[in-house]
Amino acid sequence: MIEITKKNIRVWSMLGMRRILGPAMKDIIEQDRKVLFATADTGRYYAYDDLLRTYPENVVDVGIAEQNLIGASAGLQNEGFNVYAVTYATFLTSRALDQIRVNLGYMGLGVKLIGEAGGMCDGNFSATHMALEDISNTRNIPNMRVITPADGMELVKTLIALKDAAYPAYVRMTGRFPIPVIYREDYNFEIGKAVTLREGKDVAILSNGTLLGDVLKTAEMLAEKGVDCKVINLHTVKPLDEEALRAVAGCKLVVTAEEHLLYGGIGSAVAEFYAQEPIRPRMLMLSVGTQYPKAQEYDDLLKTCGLTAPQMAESILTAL
Amino acid sequence: MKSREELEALARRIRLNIAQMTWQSGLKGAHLGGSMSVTDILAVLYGDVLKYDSKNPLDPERDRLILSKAHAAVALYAALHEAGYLTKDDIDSALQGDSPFFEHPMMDPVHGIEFSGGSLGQGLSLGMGTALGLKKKGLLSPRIYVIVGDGECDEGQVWEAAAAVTHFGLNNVTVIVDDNGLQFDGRKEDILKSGDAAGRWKSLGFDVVTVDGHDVEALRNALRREVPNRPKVIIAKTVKGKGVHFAENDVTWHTGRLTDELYQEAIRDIND
Repeated sequence: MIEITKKNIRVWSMLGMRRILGPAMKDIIEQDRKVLFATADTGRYYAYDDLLRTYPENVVDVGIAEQNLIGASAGLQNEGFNVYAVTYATFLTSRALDQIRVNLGYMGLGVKLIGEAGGMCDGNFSATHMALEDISNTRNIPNMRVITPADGMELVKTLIALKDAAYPAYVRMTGRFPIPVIYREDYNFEIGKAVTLREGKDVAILSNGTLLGDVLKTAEMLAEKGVDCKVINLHTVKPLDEEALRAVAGCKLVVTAEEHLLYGGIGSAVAEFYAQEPIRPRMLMLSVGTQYPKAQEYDDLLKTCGLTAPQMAESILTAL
Repeated sequence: MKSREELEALARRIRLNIAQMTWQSGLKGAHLGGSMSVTDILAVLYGDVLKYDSKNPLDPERDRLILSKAHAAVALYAALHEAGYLTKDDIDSALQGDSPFFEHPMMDPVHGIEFSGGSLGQGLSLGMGTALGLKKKGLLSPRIYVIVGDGECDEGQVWEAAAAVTHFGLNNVTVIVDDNGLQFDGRKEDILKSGDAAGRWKSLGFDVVTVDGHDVEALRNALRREVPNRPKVIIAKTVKGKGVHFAENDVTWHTGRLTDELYQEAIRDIND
């Protein structure tokens, strides 16, 4: 399953992130039985049936109890297991934030948190199911790495890259299904190393997650209007790739685009970095805003928040 | 096996060191009340129940003690000193300057501190994960002892973890409730009623016994009693501030500072 082939790249795109997770974790567990898949009664979302059937001892479902999910995972991690703790992003990172803070941040136990439905992809279930503060919450936790993969292959690469990491991490899964294919073939993925998806010199757009599909379209639309856009996949929000940020500091405009509330997300992270730099670009922060959106279908929510490709192109032109 | 007198003497030494650390912390003070209430429990655990070797602190076969009511850190430090993990210098410098032994214990397994604590309600989850991990690794002899406060049991996470302990069949877990009946703002009964406290644990499938938490023999019997197929809960009825008359059953002594005079009074009480 986790072999990187043209066929798998297509299959992953059709499945969407949540349904990649179970099969990918099964393959990872096949290679290392110290890996545990812990969840708080959301296992079926991740197509985990085969994993559960094949390696029942490697699945720990604690029921609808996110606080205990974190504590139990921390205890298991401390006994030498490598725990991936998975549930809805907002229940994981907001409801159990103190547990994350104490067990993963303060004690430094290397549990890997995997948040599903990052952003607004389950927004039809209302704001209760939107994860709009997860980046803000996790990136402020000491020791924590924060990663938002762009597509199925990058999710798989992230899960593998984190396997033997001693530090805790938060992985944000976004999008429904199908999801855009950002990478058509294998590439070098490194935690903390941003990837340039498209070259350009006037404007740099920094984004991550499945929203990058729309961001790439935005860059196409702007190119037709004579604006040359660079697109950077800032998959790792923490630690930031400072070199990549310095390299675009001379652009007329640096844009951040994210499915997250305005404060505390990647826009904030990038602005915090530039604020202490000698050369500071003008910034435009495209985000969900400062209020919880009303429940809608995902595509409509992106429209409401101005995060569709034509709207983002328009906002950038206005800012220029 | 230690005699009753030996265990009581051990508890007395722990109390003297609790009083000393509280006094030496100066104006900051320390959590004297809940430390004194848990002292006899710790004395019996380290004196005659836990399997440990302070010379080989990371032995995978060791029993694990998790002090979930971590504000009783000074009691833990004093017990760890008796157990050989902390030196007298560690005790004499605790709660001062840059000592690593401060008001809430920080994870330091080499010194017998399995996990950091301070945010209530979290210890049983760590214990549950540890107990499950040990079983998965085939280590069936170590036991996990988790000490919670009765006030701490207000926290919902305690019950998330308790249900998981029995659900996963973790008969290698013993929970000890330091039931001193007081919490920060007043009597437990007045702040948040917990209904039938023993019944809550029983209904989840725990073996529950209630004992006098200052009777070392009763504690030892309860802690050593073998229950093959179920996790255990020992509800230890205790007195907050036990052993220091002016602090006994007084909510204002949840945290407090000992002046030179009060410290001398405390020493006299403990030695009586």
